[in-house]
Amino acid sequence: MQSGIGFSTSRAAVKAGRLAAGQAVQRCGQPDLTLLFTAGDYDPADVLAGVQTVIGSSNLVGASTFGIITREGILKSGVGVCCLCGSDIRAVTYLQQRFLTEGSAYTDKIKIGPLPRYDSRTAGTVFVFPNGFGNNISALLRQLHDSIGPGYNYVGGGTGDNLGLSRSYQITDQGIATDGFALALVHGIDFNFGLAHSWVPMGEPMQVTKAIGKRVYELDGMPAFSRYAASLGGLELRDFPQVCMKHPLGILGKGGEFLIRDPLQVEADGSIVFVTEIPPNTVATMMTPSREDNLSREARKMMFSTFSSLPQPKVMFIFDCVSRYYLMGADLERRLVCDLKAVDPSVSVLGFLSFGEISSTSGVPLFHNKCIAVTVGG
Amino acid sequence: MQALTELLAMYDVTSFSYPRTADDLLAELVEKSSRLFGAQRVALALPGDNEQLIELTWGFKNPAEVPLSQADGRKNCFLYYFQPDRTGFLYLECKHALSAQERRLGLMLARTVEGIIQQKKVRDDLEAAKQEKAVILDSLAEQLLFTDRTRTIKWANASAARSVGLTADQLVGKYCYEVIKGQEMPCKQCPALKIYKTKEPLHYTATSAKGRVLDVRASPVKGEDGTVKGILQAITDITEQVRAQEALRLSEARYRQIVDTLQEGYYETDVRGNITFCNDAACRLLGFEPGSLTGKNFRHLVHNPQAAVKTFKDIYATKEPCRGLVLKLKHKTSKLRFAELSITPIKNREGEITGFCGVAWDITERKMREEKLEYLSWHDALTGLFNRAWFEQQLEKLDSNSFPITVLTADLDGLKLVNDTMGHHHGDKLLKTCANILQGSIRAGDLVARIGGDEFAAILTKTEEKAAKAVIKRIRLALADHNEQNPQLPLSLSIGVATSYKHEPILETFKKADGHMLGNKLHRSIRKKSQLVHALSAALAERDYTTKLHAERLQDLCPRLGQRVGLSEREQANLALLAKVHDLGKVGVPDSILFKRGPLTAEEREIMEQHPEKGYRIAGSSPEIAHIARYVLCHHERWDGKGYPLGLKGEEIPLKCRILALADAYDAMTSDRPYRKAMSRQEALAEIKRCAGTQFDPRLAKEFIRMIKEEHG
Repeated sequence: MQSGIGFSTSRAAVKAGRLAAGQAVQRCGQPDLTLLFTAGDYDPADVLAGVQTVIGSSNLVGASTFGIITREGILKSGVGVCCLCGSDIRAVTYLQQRFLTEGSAYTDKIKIGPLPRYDSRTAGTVFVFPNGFGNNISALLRQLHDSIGPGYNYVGGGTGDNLGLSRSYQITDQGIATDGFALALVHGIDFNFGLAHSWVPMGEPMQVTKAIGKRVYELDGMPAFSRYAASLGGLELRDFPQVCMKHPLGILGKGGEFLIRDPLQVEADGSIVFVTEIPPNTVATMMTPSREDNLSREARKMMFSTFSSLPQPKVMFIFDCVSRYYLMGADLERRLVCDLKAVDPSVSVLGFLSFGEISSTSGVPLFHNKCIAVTVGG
Repeated sequence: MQALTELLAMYDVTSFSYPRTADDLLAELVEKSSRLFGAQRVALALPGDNEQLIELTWGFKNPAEVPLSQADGRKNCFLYYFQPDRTGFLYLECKHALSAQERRLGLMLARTVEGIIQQKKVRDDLEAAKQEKAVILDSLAEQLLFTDRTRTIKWANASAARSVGLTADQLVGKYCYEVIKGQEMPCKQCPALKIYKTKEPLHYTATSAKGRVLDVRASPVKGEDGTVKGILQAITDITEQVRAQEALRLSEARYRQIVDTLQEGYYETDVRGNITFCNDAACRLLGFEPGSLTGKNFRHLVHNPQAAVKTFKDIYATKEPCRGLVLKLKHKTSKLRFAELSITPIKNREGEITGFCGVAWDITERKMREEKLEYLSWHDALTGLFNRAWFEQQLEKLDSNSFPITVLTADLDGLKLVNDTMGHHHGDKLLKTCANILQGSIRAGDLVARIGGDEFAAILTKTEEKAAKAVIKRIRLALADHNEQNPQLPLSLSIGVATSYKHEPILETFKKADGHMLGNKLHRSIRKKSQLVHALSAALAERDYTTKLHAERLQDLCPRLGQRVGLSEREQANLALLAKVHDLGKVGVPDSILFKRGPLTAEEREIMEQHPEKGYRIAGSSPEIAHIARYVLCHHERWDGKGYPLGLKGEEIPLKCRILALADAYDAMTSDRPYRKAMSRQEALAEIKRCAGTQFDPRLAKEFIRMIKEEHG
């Protein structure tokens, strides 16, 4: 397998796309699969057009992002392209325009069009980029798993290019969506996967007594914010935006691990809206960073572990939660750059600051918050 | 996994929301098992309706892929069969082998799901039962309300809600008196209070705010401690029923009134003919008091019930009504009554005849008329004897066993004369008398008929000539007795008889008898007519003595004038006879006219002016005075032609009549009458002089005046 990376910060979207794609293709040749990420105020259609002038109609999957992760840092405005080519690579892309959900919580029925199914006996990888602001991405992932079948690893992140929650694009060679998802089914590339966060539980667990989708109404039978604030020993509403960044909730996952759920805002009725859905009738625990610097330490540890598990890695994709960026600020970028210096320069590195991370390290695709998901392919 | 996280996992796997559907349960199960166990494939089989299994999967293409048989041996699989019958199961398949802890958690998860399934089944059963109960209660037409002690509605069914235009939920919380009666306050004698006191059900009628009549059955609902917790009211809108009952009552009253006021009898019987109902007219028809016929059998109420029984039986067989059955009724007072019946079968819903009903018309009068008509068709109305039609029919019916047959014919003499002079009333009287005499003279079994105006005939079967003569003798004796007792109007019969001994056509025998009768009539005719005239004159004299005296004076006056004008002695004798009998025709004038004091009406005058003609006929029928019949006819003519009946004028009037006119007028004027006093001689003569040339012959008038003056100075 060959990989190539290209970036452009040209303000002209088409040009930026063409330049970035050109760089990537120059390094690997005509790609079998292209990943495209944009950051900043780019018209994704124009960018796509520019990229496709280089790659033609070959398979492409991508997303609009808050920032593009490169070896050199985080591009807050630009276009990043990664091309993969190899004789064993088989890929197919799919774009759905909208999440058509029915019901709420567990019962969301995601209407998915006919998906291509490869032979599930052969392991494959699904790159999926849903609208990070969409409802019930967890249910979407379960639906995808049911539709495509087990035997696939999942990796990806929620799209979105600003915290205004207004610009979010999902991209494939078929077009652009704003409230749907883009995915690529890939065979022929060995990927390893890693996921890390450094959040640890604090305080007593709380029962999620009433929740619908992303909105938690009650914790322990009390209004969610009241219980949340009580578990912190008291909290003013005005302080919530700063405090909640450091104190997400965690729900139990496989092996005692916690799935992090990032609170976003408090509603007038005392309910708390999270970045992603929290299932009712479960137990949530207040989380806190194990140590301030462990946020990056665990990430690095996982990154290296994932990287080193492949004999000949050729490409690394990083999906780092945008909240980590807000939490760590410039330090995140610095630590990333530093960590990536340890990665072989021949390995193409591309990623983006995501609104939620997708990983199937537990065996099934789950949607995470405040994590860093890494996949290394070779 | 640390103890805390295990505890959290235990709580997580045992905390399920109550799923609405099997798909909901699977979704929640998949979320938990994928998150907590990393399950890649999940299969859930649930017992469904009709003992079918609902198989749901996640991660499988279809339920057939689920490797149940291999699950037990595989470390990355977990399989649990739900109790009690192990028909349902939970299957989890992970990427990696399940730890012991995870298996424990899986078991807890499975048992939680099992409990949910059982709980859901119980809830579903309860819900189904509740729904079924609700459907049943809501489908009831009866309105159901449950109220508490404050009379607040706690529950209502759909019918109750519909009745007031609300939903069942809207009714809850309202007061029953507010909803039912539209009142703001409880009823003054609220039935609920009584029920709370007595703890017994109550049944009553109420009127709703909309004027509907409600039948309410209120029952106390008691708690385990026996206290009344509330009241369940079962309400039925019986407005239509009440209206229908009222309409039925009015209808029954109307029809009862119609039946009671019918002039015809209306009856109803059972199948045995016992009267079950009848109106007053039916009772009256039979002479019973109203209401007293019920229970009586019709057989005892009619003569010859066989015809009625047959008719009723026919109707029972055909199930068709009939009309026109005529029965002779046994009136309670033995009066003769006939009725015509219509009979209609009364049928039940199955079409079986349970009785009869009908109308009875009193046709007694009609029946009597019919019988009378039949009687009249064979009888002579005047005499009561059989008539000619019957006589001829009997003649045809005679057979050889009737011989010897004697035919007797009789003819009433002078009937025409009596009818013409005395009127048909006297003539009819003669006919009746004749009929009675004949009827009384023949033997029982003999038949007599009036075969003509004055002709009679009798058929005497098995009667020889000798026996026939005996009959004739009896007739003659009866006639003689009658004439002795009634000399003023004697009865005369001409009788003929003929007997047939062989098979002679009976008409021939009749002709013989008739011929004998004619011969007898001729022989007796002249003598009997003279006797009749004398009898009539005597009758008139006996009736009007004034006329008799007037006639006697005229018999003296007329001949004297006749002599002065040169009549012969013979003519003077005729003139005297004329004076005697000239008013003979007055025998047919009714007394009311003859003796009337005041002036006669035009009609009365017309009758009176008929007496000259009647006198003419009477005179003409008597040989003794037939020669002066014409003078009798003209005795009221006037010189100027304004007399009657012929209007003769001047010397067309016979001389004797002119003389009689003068004498008659003079005598009438100089005699008292019931209506005036007599004139003096001078006045009378002056009147005669005045009328000379108009009423009287002027020459004879002059002569008459001179004669009277000479005789009386």
